[in-house]
Amino acid sequence: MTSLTDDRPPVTGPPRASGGRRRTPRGPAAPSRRLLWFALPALAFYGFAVVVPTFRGGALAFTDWDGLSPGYAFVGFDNFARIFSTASSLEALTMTLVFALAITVLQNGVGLLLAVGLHTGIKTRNVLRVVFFAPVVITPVVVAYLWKFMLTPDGAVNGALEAVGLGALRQSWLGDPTWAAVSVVMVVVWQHAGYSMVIYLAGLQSIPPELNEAAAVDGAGAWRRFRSVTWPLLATATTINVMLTIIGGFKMFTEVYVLTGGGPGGATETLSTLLYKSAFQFDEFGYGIALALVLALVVAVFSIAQYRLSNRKAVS
Amino acid sequence: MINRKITAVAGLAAAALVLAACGAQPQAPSNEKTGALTVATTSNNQAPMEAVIEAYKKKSGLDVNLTVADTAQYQTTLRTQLSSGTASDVFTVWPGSGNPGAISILQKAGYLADLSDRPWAGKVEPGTAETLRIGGKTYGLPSKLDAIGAIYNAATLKETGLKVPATYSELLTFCADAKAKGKVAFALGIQTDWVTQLIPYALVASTVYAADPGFNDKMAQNQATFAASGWADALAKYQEMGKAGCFNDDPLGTDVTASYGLVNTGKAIGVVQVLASFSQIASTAPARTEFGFFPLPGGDSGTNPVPRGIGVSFAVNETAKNRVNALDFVDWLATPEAIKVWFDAAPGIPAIQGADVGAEPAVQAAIDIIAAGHTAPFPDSGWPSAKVQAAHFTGIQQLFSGQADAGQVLASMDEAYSAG
Repeated sequence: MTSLTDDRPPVTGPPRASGGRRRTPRGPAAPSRRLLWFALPALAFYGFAVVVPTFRGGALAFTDWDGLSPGYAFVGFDNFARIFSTASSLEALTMTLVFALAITVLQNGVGLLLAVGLHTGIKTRNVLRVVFFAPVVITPVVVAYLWKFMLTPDGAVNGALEAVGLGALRQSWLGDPTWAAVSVVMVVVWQHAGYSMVIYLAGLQSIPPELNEAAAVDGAGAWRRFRSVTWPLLATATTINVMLTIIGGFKMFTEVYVLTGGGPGGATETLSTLLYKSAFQFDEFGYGIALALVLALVVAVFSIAQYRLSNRKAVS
Repeated sequence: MINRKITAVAGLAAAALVLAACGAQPQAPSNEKTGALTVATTSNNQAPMEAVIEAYKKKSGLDVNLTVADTAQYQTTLRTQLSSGTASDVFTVWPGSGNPGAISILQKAGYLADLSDRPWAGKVEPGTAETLRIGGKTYGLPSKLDAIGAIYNAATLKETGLKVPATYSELLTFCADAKAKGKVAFALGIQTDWVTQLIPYALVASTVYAADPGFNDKMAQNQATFAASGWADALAKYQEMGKAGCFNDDPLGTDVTASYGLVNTGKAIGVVQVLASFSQIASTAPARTEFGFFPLPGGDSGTNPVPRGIGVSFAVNETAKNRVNALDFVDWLATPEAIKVWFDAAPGIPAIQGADVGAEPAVQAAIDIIAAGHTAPFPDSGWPSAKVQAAHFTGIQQLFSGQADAGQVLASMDEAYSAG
């Protein structure tokens, strides 16, 4: 792609004082700096609404601000030291990693299965695509409340199990620490698997059918064709999906807050719910912001690592 | 060019910092008369507040705007709004410093108006007025008293043929007998975190405060701990009640709304709740359902005190734009006219002395217990921060899910209390 300014003469300005740096001819990909002025209003607004508050809020992680009083004192790295020395925050960090990992694996697995299943010639494929994508467009808080209602001891899930003769599988879905965590993951996957499905479906549709046909002619079976032809060509879709689910898994708040409130007994507490409680309930805004910064760092590290790994794999 | 851009961005950043710094400071009080008023309260007070606001609008001609939210969301939103200067003129507060909306926390930051000179300040029920004072100054109008006990479905109790238990031993028998007749004695929905505290509060009225009314002061002076007090007995009894079949299956998977449903459908005889929840329970019950109230026995003495506290109270925003109207509205809330409107909409116990309101049987039972002086304080009114309450909520859930024993729960509460 060539720039609009490629053929234009160099921009001339007032004569420079001797010794000033000469403007070097720009390469074909260099954007005109003059055009940046057009972006300035948007950049200024972005700076005012996003960058400044972010840094200003971030600075509060080094204070003991209670979120209410006008004054605060700087406490250095005390809040960060507390995160890594307190059992509750370490447990929340662990639970955040467990949720992110479980959601990433399950959501992508289910999304891929749905995409492969619906990338066929079955007549109802369009209807099924809509059905599986439908939960994505519902507000997460509504989905969480619906599932909370269905997962009560006498709710629809236990009722359905009872009705089909599987009463022995009735569970305290949100009352047992392990099942509560499983329930949160299942609800998230139920809602968002359709989103992953759509991305995988787009990836599948971009694969030329001749490649699979050629492999079939060469005698490759269905699994072999998927493993050696389809899967490698889905690398871009997989990278996008894994990246999105990792970030979504780490940031998850609504589902945990509505379904379990971090309970029972803190068993499903994540960094997001803990930072909310610290900042808005326990008068520890500084500590809450420190938790938010740690969460942001964890998300960044995992996202970058995953992106580089996927890129390296794609190149090789 | 780059330098100029950096200068521009730095200028914007500086301006933003200055603006943000301005927003964090409480503004000076306004004494100008306006035509509007904003009020915020919790959802369990929505019906009576709407009724009094309607009456006040007719009286004053003001444009009154009401905001309502669930308690947890309300408390966090209130704090954010206060610090950003967008809070309502009149809002619900809580006594002590045990939760994020408590007056000690809000007053320390300078957001509450001093209401000591208001005409109703001397008419507040003794024992209640002090809980909304800091340094001798009054910062809230208590509207309603509250008590914790068993609210029961009279028809279900009659159906089982059982009698209200008068001692803890009778309580265990009551649970077993109810279970034998296919009923749950007490619906329990401790998936909702604040419900976890109600039975311990009801039990410590007997196991702690009956023998030691000054326990809160001793805690404040580091002369007592939860672990080495009647709290240990209360938690042991809470667990014993669970083992005796006093509660529904899977209380950790049941939320507060579902627990009300168990009472209203006759599956459970009663539910241990704050009296403030009575109107919410009754609103989802079949027509003509009759309710009663009895104190939860925590001992075998035969005298069973109930924890008594403030049901709802209101403060005036010190920095309110409509401060004059806010003070007038709060003064009006304390008049017999407003008290009648409020309690006609939601039965309860008025905190202003001399108020004459009709009472439902359940409410009247609580009024009689309070009048007889069989009361104990809400334990959290003396706690230094919301962290103790949070440790209590988490601890009780851990107790029921086997993640901790009673000793560990009380140790975590002591730790949170010490941290302040």
